[in-house]
Amino acid sequence: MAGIWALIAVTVLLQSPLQEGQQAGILRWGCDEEGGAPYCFLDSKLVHVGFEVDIVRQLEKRLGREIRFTQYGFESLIPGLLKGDFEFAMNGLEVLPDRRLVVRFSRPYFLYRQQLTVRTGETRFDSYESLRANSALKVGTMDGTAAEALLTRDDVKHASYSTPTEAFRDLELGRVDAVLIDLPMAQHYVGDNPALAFASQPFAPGRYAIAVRPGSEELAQAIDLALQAMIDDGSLKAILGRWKLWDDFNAANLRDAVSTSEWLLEDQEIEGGWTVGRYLPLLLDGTRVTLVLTLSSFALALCIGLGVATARLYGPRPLQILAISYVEFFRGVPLLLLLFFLYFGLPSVLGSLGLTGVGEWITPFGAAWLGLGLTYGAYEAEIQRAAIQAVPQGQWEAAAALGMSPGLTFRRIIFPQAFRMALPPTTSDLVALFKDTSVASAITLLELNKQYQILAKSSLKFVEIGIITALLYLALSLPLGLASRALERRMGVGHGK
Amino acid sequence: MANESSPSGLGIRVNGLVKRYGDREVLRGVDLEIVAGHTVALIGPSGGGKTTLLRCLNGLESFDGGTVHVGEHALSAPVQGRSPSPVKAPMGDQASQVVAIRRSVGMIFQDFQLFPHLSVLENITAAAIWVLGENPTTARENGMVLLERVRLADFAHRRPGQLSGGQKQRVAIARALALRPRGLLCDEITSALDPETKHEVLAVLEDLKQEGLTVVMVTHEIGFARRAADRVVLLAEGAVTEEGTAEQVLDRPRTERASRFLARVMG
Repeated sequence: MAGIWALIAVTVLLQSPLQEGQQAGILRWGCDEEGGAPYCFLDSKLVHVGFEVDIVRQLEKRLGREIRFTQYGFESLIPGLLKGDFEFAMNGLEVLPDRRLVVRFSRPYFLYRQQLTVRTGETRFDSYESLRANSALKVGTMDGTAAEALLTRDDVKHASYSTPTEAFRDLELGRVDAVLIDLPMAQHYVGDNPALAFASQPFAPGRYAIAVRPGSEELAQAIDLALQAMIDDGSLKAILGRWKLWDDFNAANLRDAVSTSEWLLEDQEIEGGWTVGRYLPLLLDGTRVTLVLTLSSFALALCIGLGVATARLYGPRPLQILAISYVEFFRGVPLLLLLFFLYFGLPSVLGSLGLTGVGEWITPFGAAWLGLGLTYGAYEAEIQRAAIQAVPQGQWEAAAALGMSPGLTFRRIIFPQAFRMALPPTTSDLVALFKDTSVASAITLLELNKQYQILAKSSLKFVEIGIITALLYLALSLPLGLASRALERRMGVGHGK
Repeated sequence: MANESSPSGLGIRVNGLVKRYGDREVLRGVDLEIVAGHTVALIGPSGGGKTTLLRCLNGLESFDGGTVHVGEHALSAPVQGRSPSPVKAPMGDQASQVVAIRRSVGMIFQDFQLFPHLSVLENITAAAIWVLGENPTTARENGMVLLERVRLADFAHRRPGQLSGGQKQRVAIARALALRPRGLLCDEITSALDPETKHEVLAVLEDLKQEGLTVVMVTHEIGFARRAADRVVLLAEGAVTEEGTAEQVLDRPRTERASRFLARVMG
């Protein structure tokens, strides 16, 4: 036991952040290349390109230090910076009030505004105001953006994606009615897509700035000076112009943006801070979704499992092969991949089959339910097959000798015994499925894990909210285990020997 | 067949029964006639085909040649077919004959094969309720009568796992009797029991003999065969080598093979 703790301690020590300068002057730049156009993304030659890449190359020269790209999930950039995984974060990071509490922002290098995008021919609304007036409408946006904060503040129903690609895709599929996102992304992703159109003018301006740790004032000031110099000598304008981002708004405001205080979101007071009373209802809401998803997808898995197990044992040869293939396929495919396919891929497959409009029926919950049910159905099939085969052959014979038909024998004699034997492995399967529901957060389902991620990243209370979330998970899984053990005991009465 | 008028007891006739497992012939043209109401002891060395013959009588085993008549029902080779259950069940017309035979002839196994998830009483009423569609209340009343008869009425609501071997076998007999059969097939039903509990089970069987049921019993109990069997059949290497009364077969065997076997089992 002591050895394990020593090992953990050593591991933690090895992972603790290296101080700046210890690394021969190299600066690590935290950024997300996934869905990162036009900020920073990979071109077809797998080289990093984007307007921020161009800015970073300039910074390299002006700071006289090598800057190394570090891939990091967008919504985790601030925690990653504070943890010490890189020296600065630059990835269209909006200057938001809760971020300003924990990091030191540089002077801005770009002024963004929000752009509302709709499907071509949208008639129900034509602006953010008319959208807000209709509570039935749902808006897609990105995790951890100013747009998300705006939609939350205005109480607009929304779904948060981890990349803009998925948000625009769901807009086309009709799963959301609009996308609200920073103008550069909107320009890049909508482009000349005839199916999508901008609604009204961009609004709600804000600043993109480079984030450094509060303790790194020296680095922050060096970056401030370098950016200021780039604005003064026109090199920043050249870069933004090259990426078609230089607009009248930036021309008018970027130079003086440091002192401008009339920004819509960034200078708002945070009411009350992140208290338990504020985030607990959201966690409980996530818990409810997790519980409903667990129970409904497990019911599906049990049905599939029994069907596949009996098909494999008693079906005609082709059906047996089909059942074996089913089990091998769904046991072998990672759940995350399956959920992505069901949610993002299936609608286009159905669309190409002429079933347009089906996509909007595939909700995050529906896709998660189906994916978990299919995967755990494969596990259940194996558990039940083994249990059915473990019932002695003599039981079939004894029932047959009493004149029972094979179907009656299976229902009344074999299955009840197999069920009892399958109970312990089925219970651990249920607990495993329960925990695997967290994978559904990847397809925007607001279950418990997703709520935790959102709340922890927004409040930076990873430990506090993490402990409460873990307790909520335990509060559900422990009774699950207890209940099934009680069931085992009850069903096992007098079976002895 | 014999004894049409009696409600109990049915005749059994086997003609030229052949059964192969791959290349091995375990039954080589068995001929056997069992008179209604008789108790017949099937004895012989292990591997001689006793159990296989017994299982051919109610279609638990398929066979490759010959015919089996049980009461008014008949099976003729080839009896085969596949079924959704691991029990080989014949198809078509043979299937209905097999079902009819199984309803009129009960079977008791060496290893009991009670249904462990059901209570003792439920074991007994299962077939009556689920197969014959009897009223559950009536079935339970009848079941209690049977349990009293095997002196296990106090155990009606226990699970089989709580009973001793002898008690389990008596429940199995009661279960076989619940369909009011006219014959009983017993497959080494005392082999798994210790000497004292054997007597409980054999006493119940001797009791049944009074009611005129036809009983075919694969057994190593030479003493029981002598005491209770109307006929003794010695089966060796897939054929009937001796057939007659207990005295004829046990005391004056005609063949050398029978003498050697009997000398061994009777010490």
